[in-house]
Amino acid sequence: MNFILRILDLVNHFQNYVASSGLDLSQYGSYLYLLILAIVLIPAVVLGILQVRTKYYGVLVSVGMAVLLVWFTRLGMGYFLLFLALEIVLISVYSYIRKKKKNKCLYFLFLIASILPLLSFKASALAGYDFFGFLGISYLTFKAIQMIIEIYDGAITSVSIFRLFYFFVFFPTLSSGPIDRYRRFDEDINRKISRKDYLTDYLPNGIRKIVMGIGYKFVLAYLINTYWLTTIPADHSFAHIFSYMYAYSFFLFFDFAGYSNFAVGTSYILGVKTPNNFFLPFLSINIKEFWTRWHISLSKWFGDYLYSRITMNFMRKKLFKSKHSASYTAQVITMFTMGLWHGFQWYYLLYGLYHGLLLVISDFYERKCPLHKKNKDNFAYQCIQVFVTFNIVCFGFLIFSGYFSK
Amino acid sequence: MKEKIIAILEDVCESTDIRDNPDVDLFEAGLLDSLGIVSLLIELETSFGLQLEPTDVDRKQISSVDNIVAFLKSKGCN
Repeated sequence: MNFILRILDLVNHFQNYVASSGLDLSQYGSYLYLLILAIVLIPAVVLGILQVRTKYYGVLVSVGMAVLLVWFTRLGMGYFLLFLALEIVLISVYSYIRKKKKNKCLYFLFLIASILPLLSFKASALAGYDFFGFLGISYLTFKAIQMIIEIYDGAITSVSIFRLFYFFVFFPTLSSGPIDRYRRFDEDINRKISRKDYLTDYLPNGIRKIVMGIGYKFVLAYLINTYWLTTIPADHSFAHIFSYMYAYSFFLFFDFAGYSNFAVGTSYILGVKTPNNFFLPFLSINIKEFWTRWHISLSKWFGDYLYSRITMNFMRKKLFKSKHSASYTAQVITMFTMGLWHGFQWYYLLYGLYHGLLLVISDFYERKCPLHKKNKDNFAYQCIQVFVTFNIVCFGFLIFSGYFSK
Repeated sequence: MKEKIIAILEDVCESTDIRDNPDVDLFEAGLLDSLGIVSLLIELETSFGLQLEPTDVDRKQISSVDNIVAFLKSKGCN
């Protein structure tokens, strides 16, 4: 029983993508990681100055760091290697098969196979034990799915196993993203960066982002957690719910945006311009804009590989009378899946559904409501919009936090 | 071809702004959102006999009438 509780605890810690960054260790562990990182990045900087492509060093260092990261979480090294082998084989084999013929059944077979590890993990976690869990599985699965889809499309025509391997083990984004795309990543690692560009763009911006990331995560998020979030009493009084909602939302932002900045900055130093994940999300004017500012790589991924494709299929097959109905349906499906991706717990599903419905309602409101049409260029009205959006979003995070299941 | 595209965009964006100003950046002017992009791709599919997926195009390629013309030409359309 104790053993199961320990596993549940570990898995819980795992599934909360806030804590899954691997950087959230004891103070000693965090500093050790930073030290190792600094040492490991120095050769990368040297290579950049010498105008040498960093990819070979990058793979070496990624393998080393990946081993460290996965080892630090004390769980899943075997699964990590198994997963890597599985996905690399799947993608290489499918790339070969696809060159011979474009078969939809084969496509779905490979697609499902690539998602199986993640599904097994999430299902087993819900049942209370761990199967196939390792740091980064949720994020690496996106990379696999994305590649299989683009191989089917014909957008990716050939795969080098070495660059495929690098795409997967690239350590800055290993644990929690941002989620990159194979073609974009591949272009970056093969690009010859001039010394001038490296010293005026990649290096200073990389360092700046790392410093910002450290500030957000190890200072701001740490302070919010220590002096606010964890001081809120456990009973669910109205005041406590209120306080928890904002505390959690700010903590989540600074912790995750901090990690993301750190990841992006580190990858810049390695010559890869990993896309940003956040851009002033709490200043969003409506829910649609929010999803272009929060966990951007995730929402773009779901937008390109799920929402847009579902909507296009609906429209091609003329399943809906109006394009808006098609879009609304696709949005709810997409957001629900996004919730599901976080985990099979009811509050993740509710979170997804919540945002799906919000997107539908807010779009309908903005298209049909005379009050909106009359005032949308009014500054005061826009401020109210931002305020309302902020609160709606924070309530969503409250659901997401699992607060109501405690 | 340019005329065809302007007509498609008028329909998709539900706006005559494009006819009045054919060089407008569709994204900056807020004329195209994600549903708009999907609708546009569908129209281009049916009008020019293409098969398009959302990840086959990046935003820049469809951000203006001229860019769309260039994109279609690169796909071998007339």
